[in-house]
Amino acid sequence: MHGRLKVRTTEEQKLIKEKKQQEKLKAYRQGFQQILSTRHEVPYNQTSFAICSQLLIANPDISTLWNYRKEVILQEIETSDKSNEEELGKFMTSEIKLTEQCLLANPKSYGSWYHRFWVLDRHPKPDWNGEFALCSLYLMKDDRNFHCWDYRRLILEKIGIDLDAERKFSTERININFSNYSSWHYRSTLKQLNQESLDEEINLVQNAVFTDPADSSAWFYLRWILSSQDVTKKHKEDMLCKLESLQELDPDCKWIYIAKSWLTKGVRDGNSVAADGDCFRTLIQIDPLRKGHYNDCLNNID
Amino acid sequence: MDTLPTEFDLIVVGTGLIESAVSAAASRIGKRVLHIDSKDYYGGLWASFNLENIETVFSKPQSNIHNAGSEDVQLDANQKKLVIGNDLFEIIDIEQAWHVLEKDKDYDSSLLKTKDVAEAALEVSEECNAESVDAVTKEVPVAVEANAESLVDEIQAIAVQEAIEKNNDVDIQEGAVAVIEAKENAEKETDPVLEVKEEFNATNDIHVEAEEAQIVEEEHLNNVTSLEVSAAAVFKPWSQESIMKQSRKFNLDLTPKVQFSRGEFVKLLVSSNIARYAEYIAIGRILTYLDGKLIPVPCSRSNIFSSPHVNVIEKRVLMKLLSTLMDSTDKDFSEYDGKTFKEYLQDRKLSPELIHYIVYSIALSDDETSCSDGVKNVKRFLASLGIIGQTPFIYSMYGSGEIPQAFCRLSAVFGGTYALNQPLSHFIYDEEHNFKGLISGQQKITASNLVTGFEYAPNEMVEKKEMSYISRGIFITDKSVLEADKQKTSLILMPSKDGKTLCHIIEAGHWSGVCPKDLYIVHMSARRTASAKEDLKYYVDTLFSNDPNDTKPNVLWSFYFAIPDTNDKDYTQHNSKNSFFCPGPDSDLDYDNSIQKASKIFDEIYPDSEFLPRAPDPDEIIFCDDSDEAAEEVKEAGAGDLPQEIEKTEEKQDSAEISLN
Repeated sequence: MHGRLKVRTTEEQKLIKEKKQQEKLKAYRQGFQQILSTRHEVPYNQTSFAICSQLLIANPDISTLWNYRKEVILQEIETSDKSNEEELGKFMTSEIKLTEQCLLANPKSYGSWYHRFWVLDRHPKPDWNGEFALCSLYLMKDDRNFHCWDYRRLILEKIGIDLDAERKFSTERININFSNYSSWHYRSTLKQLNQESLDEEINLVQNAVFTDPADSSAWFYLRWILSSQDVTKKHKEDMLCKLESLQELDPDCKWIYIAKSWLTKGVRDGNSVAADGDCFRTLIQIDPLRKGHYNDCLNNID
Repeated sequence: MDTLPTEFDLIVVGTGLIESAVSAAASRIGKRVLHIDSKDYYGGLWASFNLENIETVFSKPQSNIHNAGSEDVQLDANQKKLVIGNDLFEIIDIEQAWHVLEKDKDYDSSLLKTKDVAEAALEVSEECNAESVDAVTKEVPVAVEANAESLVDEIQAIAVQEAIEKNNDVDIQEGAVAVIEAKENAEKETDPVLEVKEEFNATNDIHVEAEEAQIVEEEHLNNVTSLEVSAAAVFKPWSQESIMKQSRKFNLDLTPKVQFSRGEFVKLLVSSNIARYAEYIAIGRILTYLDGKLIPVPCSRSNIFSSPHVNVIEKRVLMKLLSTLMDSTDKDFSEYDGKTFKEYLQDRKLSPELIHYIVYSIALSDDETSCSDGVKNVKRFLASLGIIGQTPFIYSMYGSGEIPQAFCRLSAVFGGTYALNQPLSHFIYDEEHNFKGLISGQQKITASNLVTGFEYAPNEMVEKKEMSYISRGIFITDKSVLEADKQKTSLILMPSKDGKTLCHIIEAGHWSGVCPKDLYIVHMSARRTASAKEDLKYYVDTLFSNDPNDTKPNVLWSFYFAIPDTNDKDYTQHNSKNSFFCPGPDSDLDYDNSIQKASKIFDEIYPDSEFLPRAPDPDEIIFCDDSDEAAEEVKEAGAGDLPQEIEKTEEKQDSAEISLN
């Protein structure tokens, strides 16, 4: 091996870093100035537009820059040759590519996600199916990015939803990691509950709360299930019974108490009123931060 | 033959894992290392071979140890020559067998005809032009090929009927050839396979093709595969000929190992930057055998959540127990001194199924494992969960033989001299049993220290004791032991009938780079009690079948052997201060113990140096032309702890992902 190590002390490195940052900041300000001063030009200023891309890649969270781009795009659409959509298509595709780079820099950039959809929606030949596949891939890598879950819904509005496939997708995501509000929520948007699917969903959510009762995401899904018209008294009784046995194993889990109070709501008799009271009094003990709320609940029973 | 330099700081003989790790560590701190082997391949007992070579490796003399020329080498007065190698550490119980016919055409053509003509018919029915008929007939065996053309008309008539029948219950049957071609094309597009890079720790990445990548590939192919006919469409039983044709696609491990994704070994691979010399694949599932069935073990949080094999109460009990064990200290188990881990679990009133999962899979134990060992194993298992994929384990792509080579590579990068296929004949010792050098051909090479695999130790230095062995079986099979919806490399942990021992079984498919498509490799390792074949019979009978119509896989080729386990006893005789004998593979699932042994040997030779500190990333290296100066500086870089001082930058993180290959 014919080499040696670069050696820099941390002090030197710090200085270099600071200097670089200063230069970067200066360039950024200059670029921004250039864009603002030419923003209203018609036809738009090519240099400013190019600089805008650079600035966004460095920091995709500046709405002004995205808005500037949209103004330019509208200009492009207006002036484009209506008989030959290819040119415009190319332009729009390069816009989509830009959002890709920006999302790599910040996967949770509101501006980039919005811009991407906005552009695709105006693209002469939008590849919605390709976009959908990309979206699935993205969620496999990062299944808690709620932007992408929202984006998926937007795309499905365009290409039409295959409920079964989406349900399967959400089940897969939940199986991989059920501590995921996004996928539970997505699931709740997919299907109206009915007698048939109810048992399946209750089973799924029970698996989750038994595996990890401290994880709040599944409890919220349970709460959504309980809001269904089709939940019968028997369902509730069965579940109460299950929760009792879960409580034996985890006596200090506040979610079990809370869920029990959801279940007894509306079917109260003398016994359950007393039980509910105990429930909230225990909750005040184990979850003192929400004492006020539980006190309110207690008052409502009485 | 080129002559080697004659003076070194350290001579390492044999390229097994421990030897290679010591070699890398010594080169890394700037020692002059000669790493020499009489074999012509890397890895010794840890190597992987293709199908053709694994058959020959045991049949030809294992090394070219010989005397030619050694008598000319002059020794000092008080020195003596000891012949390299001994008769103790040999591979035994070797038994190789094919379970398929030799040639394709040996298969009963009448039997084929019924199936193939029908299948071919279906294909033909979809393909209307003559060209595609040709393509179809090429795919079916010779016997049919002759008939096919004349039968075309008839076939088409039958085909329509068949197609209608088939369509009622299965997928739409398409021309198999066309589909396969399309699939292959599609695969080309997806190549190179996506690598999911998991953040490993702050400074380094380890490359893993997690199962998720497979999903992507599958989704990509979906439009094709959904049309694909079952494997029987091109009904073509495997023959020795057709398997041997793909011999080079096999990487068969002598010593198959998995690695805990956050075990000591992987930590070392990452911290020393050796990880970049190999690729890894996640073990997708752990299976166990319970109530006559293979069952995926619920081991991670998400497995436990989604497993249909444990009810809700069991889910909670299992999760609770695992977190209790995780947070436990030794004190918590003081009353279980001298008791087994199984007893501990029984006292917790767990169901027998849960006990089975925990003892044999999560604790990697058997009925006799002590409570403290069981708890230790569970902790180790849990610590590596959730890092990569669904299990705590990763497997090296292209077989375990890659691992010793990765160490050799680092050693060579830091100036180690490599010489394989050398005519090694003697070690030179003085009367106080101090190592002085070795004789290779007519050359005498000296060094201050010797590190060698036990198989090269001279008889005089070895104490004869009863040997223990590891029974090994390698099998080529035609399907997975448990079909899954996506490609999964499996670890099967199967207790013996009496629960007293645990057999480690690894099943890998073509995606792990160890065999051709549509075949599987199954490795079995267990403690040897009778002979390799007898020891493994129960597992073979349970997992495989001879009946082609069975859902269990058929064994197409089997290979039994037993390798000596030199880890539990000390076989050295005459304490030599400067020679170190490395044990071979152990019966563990992973490398952690072996690498500890390497580290210990290194510490004894170089007590003041760090074992495998981080190696520089490519971008930390400034290239210059002056080779003398460069050589000096490499040494400096190796000796000092400069790399640690360099603050990690973002660019560096990127470069850590660039493989040097």
